[in-house]
Order: sequence, then C-alpha cells, then structure tokens
Amino acid sequence: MSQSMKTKYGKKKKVRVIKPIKAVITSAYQLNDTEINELKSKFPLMGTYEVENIINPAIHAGVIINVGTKRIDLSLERGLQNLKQFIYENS
Amino acid sequence: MEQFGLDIKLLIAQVTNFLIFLFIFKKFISKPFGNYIANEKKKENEKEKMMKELSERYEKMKEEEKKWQLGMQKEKEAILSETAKIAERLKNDTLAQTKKDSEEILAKAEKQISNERQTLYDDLKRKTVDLSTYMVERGLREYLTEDVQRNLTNHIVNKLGKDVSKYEN
Repeated sequence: MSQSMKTKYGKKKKVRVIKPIKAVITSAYQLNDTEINELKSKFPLMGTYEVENIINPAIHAGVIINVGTKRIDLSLERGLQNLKQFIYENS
Repeated sequence: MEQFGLDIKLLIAQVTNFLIFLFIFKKFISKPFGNYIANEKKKENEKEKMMKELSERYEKMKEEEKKWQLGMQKEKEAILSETAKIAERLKNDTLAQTKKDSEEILAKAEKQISNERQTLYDDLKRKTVDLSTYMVERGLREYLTEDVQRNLTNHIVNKLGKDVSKYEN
C-alpha cells in the first residue's frame, strides 16, 4: 500500500506503508479463546501478534498457522495429502 | 651348183629374206614380248609375295585376337568373381544391418510397451488413490460434526511434541 505525502520541499512523494504482521489461523470451525491461547503457547513464533481466525471447512479438522512467511500445516487435509503421497510412493 | 639344181640367186635372196625377217622378228616382236612376259612374271611374284605377307599378317592377327580373347575371358572371370565377392559382402552387410535395425526396433518397441504399461499402471494407481481419498474425504464430510472437528483438532495439537519447529515450512 502506498500513499502520497508532502516532503519539506513541497513535492509529493509516495511512501510504502507496511502492514503489521498478523498470525492467521485457518481452521474448519470458529476457534474459541482457550484454543487460540493454547496454540499461542504451543507455537512461540505466533508471539504477541494479533490473531486472525479464518474458517475453511475444506481442511476438515486441525489448523493451519501462517505468520509472515512461515506456515505450519496441521490440517487433516494435509494429513490426507501425505497419506495419498505415501500410497503413491509405496504401492 | 647348177648341177645340184640350186639357183644361187634365189638362195641368196632367200637367205637375205630370212635375215631381214629375223632382224624384224627380234627387233619388234621377240624383245617386247619377252619384256612383257618378264613384267608379268615379276608382277606375279610380287602378288605372291604380297599374298604371303597378308597371309602371315592374318595369321598373326588371328593369334593376337585369340590371345586378346583369352585375356578378356580371364578379365571377365576376374570381374565376375570380384563382383560376386562384392555382392556377397554387400548382402552380408545388409543382412547384418537389417538384423541390427530390427533388433533396435524390437528393443525400442519393448521399451515403449514397458513405458506405456508403466504409465497405465501409474495412471490406474493414481486414479485408485484419488478415488480412495475422495471417498474418505466424502465420508469425513458426513462424519465430522463441529464437536468431532474440535476434538480432532485438540487431539492433533496435543499430540505434538515439545519441538514444534519441525512442522514449520
């Protein structure tokens, strides 16, 4: 995101506004505070960031945590994909 | 002379007549005819000599032709023999090349069949796995109520060890 800003010379200059980092938790249902706190305690990388909970029923169960460029996938969907891959490679 | 019945004048005239005749005969008949005969004989000899030469030359040519024919025959046989050898070698080379080509084609076809079989097998395996996971997902969708999802999520989170960094990517 960028917005215009006047410099001391009176010229307009575009500056980039950096969004604050959020910890995004994707789950199949709405997480309550206890569950979010439990996740925060389990995953220190979430730190004190603001938490956003996104609902995606396609992951069936479990959670996906995104913090900046880091991602922790603990979803049942991922488990099924791993199982599929395992069957492909070992059958 | 008269007693013998000879007339001397007549005798002299006859002798003179004979001498004149002899002179004329020798001068105008005998000599040119002799020359003519000699010329003819000479020509005949030359003809005979020429005929002999021609005959010898003919014999010589005949002999040379015979030799040439013999040489040609030998050359022809050598060429035929060489051609037969070359043809045999070409035939063997062609057969060997054809055999090699056919073996390569066969090997290629076998490899292709094997690849296609593997592709079919992989495709079938992929479809089977896809179908299985689809059925599992569909079953899960019907089975997973919010409570079950919550319990499952708690179970997943709780079963993680202390070191959770291995799940990061």
